[in-house]
Amino acid sequence: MKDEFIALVNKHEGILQKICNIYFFRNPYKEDYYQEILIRLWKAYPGFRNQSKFSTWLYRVALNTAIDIIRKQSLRPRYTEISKFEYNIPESESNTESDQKEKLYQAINHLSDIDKAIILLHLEELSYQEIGEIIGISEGNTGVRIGRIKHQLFKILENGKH
Amino acid sequence: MENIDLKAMWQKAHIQNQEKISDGANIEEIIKMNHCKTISQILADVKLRILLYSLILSVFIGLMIYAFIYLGINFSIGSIIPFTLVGMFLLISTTMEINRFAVLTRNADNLPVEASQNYFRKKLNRMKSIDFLSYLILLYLLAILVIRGYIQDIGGFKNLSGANEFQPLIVVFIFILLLTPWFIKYQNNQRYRKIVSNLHNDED
Repeated sequence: MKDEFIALVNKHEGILQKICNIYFFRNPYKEDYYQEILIRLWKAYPGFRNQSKFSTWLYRVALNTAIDIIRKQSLRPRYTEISKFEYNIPESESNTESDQKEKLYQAINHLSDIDKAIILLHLEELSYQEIGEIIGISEGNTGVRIGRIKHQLFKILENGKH
Repeated sequence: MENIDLKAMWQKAHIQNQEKISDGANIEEIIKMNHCKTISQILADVKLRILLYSLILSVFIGLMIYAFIYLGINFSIGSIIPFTLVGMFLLISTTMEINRFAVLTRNADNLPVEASQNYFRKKLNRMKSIDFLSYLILLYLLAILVIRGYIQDIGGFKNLSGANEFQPLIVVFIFILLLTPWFIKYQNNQRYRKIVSNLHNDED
């Protein structure tokens, strides 16, 4: 089971990277949280019964974990000092792709936790049905919410603020 | 304004190789762990505080039992008040830390995201209600006992004249006891404010 899990995770590693980038944008503990997502995926893996695609299940568990980590962060009793090693925010690159990526992540960072999940799934070209399945909302509601989130993102991207 | 193609922007931004978050990380090694370093540290901090408060609370209760039951010392209401306040503080702190731990360890990862949020919201609200009700019952009972003890101390209702030097102190103490459940409620709301506001945002 372990080998099968590792192979599947390796295959879908990009999904985890994107979820971490969206939820832990510029967070010095991003690598650590990536590990937490992997641990929770492994713990939840026995509950995966091939009723849905592996990627759908992976999105669901990883998104739940990312949101849960944010909750835990907000309950953090005190500030823990960050070591120089941990504090490794990449300097902004000058090329256009990186600028665009930075701009987009910054805009998404203004959204609520569930809205972040919805827009990520939409940008990853998942169907409304799949998004609804992962988030737990109807297809109709998915469409409405995507429209609203996109409008919000356009405003942020245009004005550079919320 | 809305002619920005978000999907194209997203794809263009991810054409280049994604920089790896966990370069060379061994999945097999990672999944052997219970939690990552940061989360383990958060949980260990809470566990340590639970242990510390429980230990002090146990010693305190032990001393009180020893003094009141074994030695049979009869304290006046005036001297019981500071002990009660210390006991209350320890009890509240221990319960708060246990609740914090419960909130930190509860999750429903296999559920859809909204259902998982709802599950968490329900657990949080239930925990807050139980907290409020337990303190309400405990402190109101304590207030009744203090009033009863005080009236016995001064020799009945007929001596409630206000001349007793302890009377204002007792009134303030009872007032504190009666208000504490609401203070706990306020404290809990403050403690979980960030989470709750985030959950409400997601509800919209």
